[in-house]
Amino acid sequence: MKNKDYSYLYANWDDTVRRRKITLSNPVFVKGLALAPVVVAGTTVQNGILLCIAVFFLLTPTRIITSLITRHMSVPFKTFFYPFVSALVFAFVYYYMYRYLGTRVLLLGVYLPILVIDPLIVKNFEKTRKESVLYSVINGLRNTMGFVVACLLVCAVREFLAFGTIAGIKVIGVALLPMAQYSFGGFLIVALLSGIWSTAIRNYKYKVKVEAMHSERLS
Amino acid sequence: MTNTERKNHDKYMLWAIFAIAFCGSVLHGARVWMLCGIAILTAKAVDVAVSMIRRTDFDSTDHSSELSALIFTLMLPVNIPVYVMVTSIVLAVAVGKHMFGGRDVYPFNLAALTMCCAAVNWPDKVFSAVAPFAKVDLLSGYTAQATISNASLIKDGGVPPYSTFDMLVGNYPGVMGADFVIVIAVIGLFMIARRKITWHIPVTFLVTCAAIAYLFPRVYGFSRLESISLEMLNGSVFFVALFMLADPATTPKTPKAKVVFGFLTAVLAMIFRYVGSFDIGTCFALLLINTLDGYIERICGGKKVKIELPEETGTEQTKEKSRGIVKNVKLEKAEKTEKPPKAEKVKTPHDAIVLISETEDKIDNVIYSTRTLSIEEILKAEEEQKKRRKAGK
Amino acid sequence: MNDFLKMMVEFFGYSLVAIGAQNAIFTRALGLSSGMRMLNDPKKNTFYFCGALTVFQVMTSVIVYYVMPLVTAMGFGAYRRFVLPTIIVMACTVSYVVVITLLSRIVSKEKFKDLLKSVTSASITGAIVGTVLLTNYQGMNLVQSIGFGLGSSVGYLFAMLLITEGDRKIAHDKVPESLRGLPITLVYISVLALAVYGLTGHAIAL
Repeated sequence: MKNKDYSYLYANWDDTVRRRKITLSNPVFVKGLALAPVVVAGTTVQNGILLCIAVFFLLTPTRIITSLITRHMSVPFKTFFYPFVSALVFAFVYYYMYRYLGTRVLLLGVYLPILVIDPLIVKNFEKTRKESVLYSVINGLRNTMGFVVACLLVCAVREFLAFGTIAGIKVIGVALLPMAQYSFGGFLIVALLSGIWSTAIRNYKYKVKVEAMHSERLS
Repeated sequence: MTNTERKNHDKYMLWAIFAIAFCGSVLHGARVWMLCGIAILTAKAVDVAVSMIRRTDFDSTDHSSELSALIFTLMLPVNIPVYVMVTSIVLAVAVGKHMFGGRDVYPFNLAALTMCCAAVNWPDKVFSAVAPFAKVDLLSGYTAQATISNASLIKDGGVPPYSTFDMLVGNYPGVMGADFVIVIAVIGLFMIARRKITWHIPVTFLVTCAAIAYLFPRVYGFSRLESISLEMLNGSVFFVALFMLADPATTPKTPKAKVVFGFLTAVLAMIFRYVGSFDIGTCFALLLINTLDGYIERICGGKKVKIELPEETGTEQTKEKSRGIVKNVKLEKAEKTEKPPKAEKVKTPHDAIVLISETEDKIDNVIYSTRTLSIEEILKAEEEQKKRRKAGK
Repeated sequence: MNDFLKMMVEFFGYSLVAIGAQNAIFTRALGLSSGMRMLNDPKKNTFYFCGALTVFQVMTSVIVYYVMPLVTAMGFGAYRRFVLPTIIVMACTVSYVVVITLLSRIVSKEKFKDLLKSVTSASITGAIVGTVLLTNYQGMNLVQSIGFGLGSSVGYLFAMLLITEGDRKIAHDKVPESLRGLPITLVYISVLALAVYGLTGHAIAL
């Protein structure tokens, strides 16, 4: 990356953070959203993929519909309208997931339906900012990608530690840390990965700052 | 508790633990010493590794990890596989101690946390018991004389077929060190008499446990007094009371609060033992009660507890040669007592900004010991930088 | 008399299970994101939040219990599982409107303003929706549902109090910088969840 780019990033750091949902403002590791499904249900990669599919078909459509309808709504109405829309969208998503993926969808129990009121999906309800359809599509997809990366990473680590496999494929065949399959193990793994994530972000922020300073000095 | 008192406490506790380990080695053989050695080395290795990762000075006077590792080890059966012990210690010391800030500020009892980690991960290995003088393979820990522990037996509704005397002296299938009730009681009395520990928590804990065992006997067909002896002599109650509940980092400081703490721990421990799933309900209960010690201290009118910085707080110097920046960060307390070390001269506003960006998140907690540039000057330089940036736009 | 006693035993039994073994936060992580946001928001009060949560929980449980048979009667029995979240969200909305209407008449304007933010954020949370979903999936009757819902809210309050107390302990500069905030709070919760696991000793059914 050129020094000029670093200067731009440094000058617009807040915007950069807002835009980079996968890394700098990851919904799970940085913002702590959708923790319940990831911590409790995300024990295997298979479960993780199911959660990701549900979020993919739930998050962006909900954002688009709400951005179209709620432009002239006041905040108290929005508070309930967002979850209502996401619950309606979810009814279809859940039905088709059940139809095409079978009973394994039901294995996630309450942790798939609970997504409808998760702050990841209905996060904007407390905000009064109006958003365009295009923005909601882009933002929705960014958030989805952020969740997908975090969820699959957590699920893979937990499956590896708890069962010695990744996506059902035997890696070492020994359970290194059986507690990873329980909810407290999930909390711990998410916390550790979140810590590593935030270290990486700090280092990157530092690098951007120093490089930006350097380029300013040169200029 | 000052740093010196804490060191003294840890030293006495280590001697006490070694006395119990000696008794254990008489009954269970040389593997006890081997496991104790591995436990100490593992705990120390984690401490060293963390100090290397965090780039801080290694505190050689801190023995809390080794002490906890030894307490944990003596609560295990002698046939425990080494990987179980090592993994649990690494997990507990890294997560339970260093993640929360290390010495004196970790919120949960380390030994209890280690035991709980081992119990939930490998319950079948942790809750077995080995008969005294049984042949145990030194490396693998294999023995043909493993059985279930007394606490498990009582939990399943059974009664241990051993006399009270045998249970007092630990002469029955059990763990490496936590079953020698007589020895533990004598050590406890000695330490209370020498004022190395106070009586409040252990005595309150034991009396409350005995009262609950008397009032709500678990084993049917036995008298209430027999219920007391069964409950108190099994499940490492004395060991927990003396060694785990005496940890100064995770217990209240005032006598009144200590009594309340001991009472609540005993009540919760007995609930966990009666209805919980593991024999060592006391350890799980202790983790829960550890969250409340600050609250207990407050309602008992104790002084507001402050986090004490270690006396020998040194400087933390990070020299980053590649960028030519020397960062001198000192903790507040050390700043008052020692002269600040020399920092490389900050010549230009740009250098000052780099210094700010390096350490901006620490500004609330640390003082920059740069003699050449005051905070006001740094702020001025930052403002200049901002103006320049605006002008550039 | 016997029936009444049986009912009470059922009620308190389910409540106790929901407080301890099936704790909303430590065992099931329900409403965790909302709880974490509440902790970070000084305008929200833990007791108001959890009090409102309890009321909403019980009301939503009752509404959903009576509405679900109607869904079956309307011929949507086969789609029961899929429409359940929508019905729960609607029930939450109704509960919120009722509670807010009552509150605005009972308490003073200043107090109402004080309460509004906590009550609004407690109206639709994972704790409520998750618990009502659970009671439905497990086919609990009305007494069991209310008992479980009440216990779940009380358990949520206990958990939040413990986490708040823990926040005091971990808010110091010795905690590694990378772990401050969300990670260290999650580690703290994980140890508490481990302690609660000592009571149950088995993984939960999702």
